[in-house]
Amino acid sequence: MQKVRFTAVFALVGLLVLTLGLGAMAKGFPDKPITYIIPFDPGGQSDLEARRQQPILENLLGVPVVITYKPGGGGSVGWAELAATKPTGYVISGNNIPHIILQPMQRGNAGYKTEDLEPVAMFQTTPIGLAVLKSSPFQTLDDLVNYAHDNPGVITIAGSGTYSGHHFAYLQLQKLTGTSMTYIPFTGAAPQVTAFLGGHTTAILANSNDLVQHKDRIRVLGFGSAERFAGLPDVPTFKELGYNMTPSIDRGVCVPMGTPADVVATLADAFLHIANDPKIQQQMVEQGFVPAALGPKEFKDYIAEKTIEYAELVRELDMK
Amino acid sequence: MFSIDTLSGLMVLTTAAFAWFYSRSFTYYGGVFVSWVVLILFGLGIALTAKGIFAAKPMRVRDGKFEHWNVVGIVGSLTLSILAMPWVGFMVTSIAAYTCISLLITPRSARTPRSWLESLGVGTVAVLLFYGVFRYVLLVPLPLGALFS
Amino acid sequence: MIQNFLFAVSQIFAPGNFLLLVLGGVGGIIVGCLPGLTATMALALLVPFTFTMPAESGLIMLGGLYVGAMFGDAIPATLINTPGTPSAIATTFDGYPLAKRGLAQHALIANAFSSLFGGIVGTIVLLTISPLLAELGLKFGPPEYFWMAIFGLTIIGTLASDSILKGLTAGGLGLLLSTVGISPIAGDVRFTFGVPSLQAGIDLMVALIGFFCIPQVLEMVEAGVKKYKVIDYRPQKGVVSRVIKQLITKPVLMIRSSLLGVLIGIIPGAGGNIASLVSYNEAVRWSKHPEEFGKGNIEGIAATESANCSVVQGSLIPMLTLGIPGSPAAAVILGALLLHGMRPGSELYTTFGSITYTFIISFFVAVIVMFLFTALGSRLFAKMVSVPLQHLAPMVAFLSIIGSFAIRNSILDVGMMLLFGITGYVLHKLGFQSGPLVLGMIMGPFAEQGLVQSLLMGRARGSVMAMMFSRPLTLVLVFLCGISIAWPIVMAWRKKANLKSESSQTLPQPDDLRGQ
Repeated sequence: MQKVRFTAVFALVGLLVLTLGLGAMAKGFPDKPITYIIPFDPGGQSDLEARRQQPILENLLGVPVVITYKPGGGGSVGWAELAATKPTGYVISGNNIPHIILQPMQRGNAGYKTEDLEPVAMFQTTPIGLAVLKSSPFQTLDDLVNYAHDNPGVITIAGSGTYSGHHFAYLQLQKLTGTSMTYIPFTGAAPQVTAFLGGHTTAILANSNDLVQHKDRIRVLGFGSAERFAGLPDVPTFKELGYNMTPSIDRGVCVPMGTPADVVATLADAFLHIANDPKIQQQMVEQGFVPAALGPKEFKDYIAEKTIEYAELVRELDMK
Repeated sequence: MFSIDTLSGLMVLTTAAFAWFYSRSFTYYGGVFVSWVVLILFGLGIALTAKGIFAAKPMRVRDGKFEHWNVVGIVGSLTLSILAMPWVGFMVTSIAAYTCISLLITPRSARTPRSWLESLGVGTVAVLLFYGVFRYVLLVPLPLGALFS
Repeated sequence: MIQNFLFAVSQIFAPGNFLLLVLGGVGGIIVGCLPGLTATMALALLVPFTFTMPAESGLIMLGGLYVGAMFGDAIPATLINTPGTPSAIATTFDGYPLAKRGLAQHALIANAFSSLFGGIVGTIVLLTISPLLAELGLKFGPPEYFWMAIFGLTIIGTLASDSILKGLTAGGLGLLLSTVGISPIAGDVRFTFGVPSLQAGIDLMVALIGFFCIPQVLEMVEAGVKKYKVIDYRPQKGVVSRVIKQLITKPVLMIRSSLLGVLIGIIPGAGGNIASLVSYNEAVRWSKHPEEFGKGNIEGIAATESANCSVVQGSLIPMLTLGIPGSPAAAVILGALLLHGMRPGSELYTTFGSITYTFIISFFVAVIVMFLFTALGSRLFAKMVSVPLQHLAPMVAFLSIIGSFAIRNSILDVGMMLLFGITGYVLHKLGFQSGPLVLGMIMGPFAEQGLVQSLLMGRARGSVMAMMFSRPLTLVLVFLCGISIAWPIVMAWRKKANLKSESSQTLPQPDDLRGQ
């Protein structure tokens, strides 16, 4: 009896799997689980964003979405891995600007090239802002710039990483203000913010979410968005202050080059659907992010535009 | 013959020299720490070598019976299984490696068909169990093998 | 406060929440047991499931998991000499020798009780004076990190029992290994030999598995089965109460270790691995019988495990009060908080007070539940060491492969693990130990970043020397380094003097288990 029942259950499950499989085959992409590579450690901002999207993506695409971590080398290990996979759309990866532009430019062989990664959608921007402690004598960006003029190299700015978004924001700021300061790189947001809040550096270049989180203790002097940010309404943008720079870290997803256009479109639709959800946008603003929603074409153009901007800065840096 | 300390000392010196040679191209801030470590290793390497020469202890690898071939066999089977993993997948290589190691350790007198089967059986069960837990509960994408997918 | 407290207790013991806590904790023990799986990874896996739960339920479960992992990692450290997470490195020093003597259960109970103790001390601190301590944590700048790393390296004096020269050399090799990959400060690509994957550097856990597991397997095997005595487990009665009694009579050791864990947990980046080693070192230093450590002294386990568990609460202190996670795992919990719309800072203690206090107080319950689990299960776990060598050795090898793969899902890591394993085996033959080497790998990044950042900051302010030596907290740390280096020399000198005066006296023979 036991055996009969077992066989029956087995047959039923088999049938179910078969019909599901056939149904999925008729439907086309996607018909099996999608792997979502996070090229950073668990718990980072890219990870949290992916975790927020994961259940909704599974709903929209109708297949499981499996998040795996490939941290290391500031993301290069994960992107090199993605670039080497078959372009089927079943392996996707977080896509961070400017990382994917700067790493191949600077390292010679980062394991991938910027063009190897086909942009799918961009859903979030974190503008970079410059802040000092509440107790600092600098009330405005001008105060700081004037001081830097008179005392070259004395002002220390905490940032995260070398050849990173923060580092280039610092280079841009130096160039546009004609001053010289000292950049102190840290290995991530936590040590960077600790060193700054503890008064070990004069100022900090930090992502918008960190600035929003610590806004009670700090004074943001300038902000990297094009227009004023809803999360920090009293803070002037760099542009308003007369410095033409909009430094930011942007997050999206990408697939290997050569992925069929319709697959990219299906994925992009799902991600943009989430990115355009007002509830999610509301959450992002509260946490200090600027929601964005760029499709494959716009995202590609955006990367091309940023590439030119960074190439120029890298050239100037190399000439020094 | 070298004493064991001289041998270690020379190995450390070689490592330090190699690291120094490789680190010459580093920028100042990227290389300052490496240079310090290399310097310290040079000092320690020289001290070890000197200690080996002046206070020599005879080289003794191990007391008593030493099953060289077991060690070589295990290192070999692990190396092979890792090299083959991208092609034939985690499950096959792991079961094979488990069985090999288990057999190698079994004393020659006790190697009967039964012990073969036992090694294979326990290996298969253990590998399948862990494979299931890691792949389906913890979502670790263990390699399936290029030949099978 | 009282209101919040009562609410918290009612929440924790609500059937659903209590079940989640137990589930999280048991999951944590399993994750902790398996080398290669980290608490951080498991927490991140769990976060999406907590979206749909009420905030307090989700947090209770996450907290339970985090604590569970700290209980679990000592189990493989004791039984197969392989730390389940880097925090349990020091547990292998005394846990495994105990297991070899058939006293695995003693070691496991000591682990369970010390973890319980550390967890309770940590939670009390978290509940009472966390804002104060968080401000202290901010005083830790680059020069302090540098000196902390140097202080950490002085532990080599304790770890290298045979030859201090070889201990230092192994530490230096570890420092060198830690520099593989992209340079944290200047962005140089170092020692990658053209392999892009090496830009990520060497994962500590890969090195740990390699240096601890593989030499273990090879050494088990080289003697041949006939000669190798399989570790047998001797069941004994009343172990639980005896071990607990023994530990309770050492309140200074227990409290010191737990507080060290909390303090080191607060410093971002420095976590259980440093805390447990420092705490072990202090236990050896202040002990009247330092020579017994490393041979199976349960005080060594107690020092390690109580520090390792109180790190959990320590790392939450800056996270809850300032929004700076003290450890990667705390970063994941911070993410979960933010997704529930809770911002760290004073708001957490007022607007969201009921949830926050529920979360904190749930640690009391979690550590007690985990203690019961690991203490009751200890007999079962302890029996695992009686597995015949034909199966124990391949099993450890197999777990090494799966563990080193799981860290980054990379076959290259598995290959590196084996390479380190063979290197470790050769180094053991030459008289080097794995402990100092791994210590170098842990301290390397702190030392390098602290040094180079201090150089940059010092130059900006005019004097590097002032930066390195004149800040109050650095002076304290420099002083501690000095003591730590001088101590073994003084002790050796005193011992010599003692021996001369009482040359007839024989050295005390360590009995089976000290003070039992």
